[in-house]
Amino acid sequence: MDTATAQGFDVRCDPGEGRTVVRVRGELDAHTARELLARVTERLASTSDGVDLELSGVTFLDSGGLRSLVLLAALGGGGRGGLRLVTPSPPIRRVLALTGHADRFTVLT
Amino acid sequence: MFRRRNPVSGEARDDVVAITLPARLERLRLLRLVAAEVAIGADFGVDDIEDLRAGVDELSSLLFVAARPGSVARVRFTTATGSVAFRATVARRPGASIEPDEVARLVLDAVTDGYATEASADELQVELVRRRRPGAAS
Repeated sequence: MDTATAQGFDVRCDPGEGRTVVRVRGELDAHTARELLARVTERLASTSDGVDLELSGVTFLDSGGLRSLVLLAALGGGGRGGLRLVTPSPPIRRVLALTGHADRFTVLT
Repeated sequence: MFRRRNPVSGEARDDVVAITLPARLERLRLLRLVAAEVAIGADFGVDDIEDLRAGVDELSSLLFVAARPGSVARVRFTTATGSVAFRATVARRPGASIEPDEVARLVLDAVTDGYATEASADELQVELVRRRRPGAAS
């Protein structure tokens, strides 16, 4: 497992067997989204089994954070196993609903 | 209530929090913290506090991306009865745009009671107002 941490934000990657699990905690905004993009893009490129973003610990999401999730979902397409959003927190579900983006992701609750 | 009285006239006046900070995305978290503190002082409920934080974050993100590198943001929160107004100004990076995209507009429409962006040759400004929802006071 490796981790990356900014103030109030934490990304932990657990490659394991099969799908890679990335646990995200804290506030996902236009600044911390850059860190998430870098980390998960790297994971998507190194696995054919896909990535699960575990999002129950995300306490804030803005449109910059949402754009990063949309981009990662697009990168995860094309036979690479895909990106799934796992147990998204209420702030994430709210922004997905407000912006009509819920259908653009595979979501596991 | 959060309103204070003018020590000279004794009249109630609006409460103002004014800060300057580097116009960088790294400072969004600090602005959200200040917004939450101001909202609590205005007797906002939990949902109203989260909406004010979200609105301040969205507009400040736009502003900071378009700010001249190395510049500071001048930020002002004004609390009146049942509402909080936010305004922030930065020096403009030449040619930078400050219009929110569709996703940001959808969020701002949902979490504010009005917002505006303004660009001049040298400066960019954003502002919003958020009113306390009926029955939301603590």
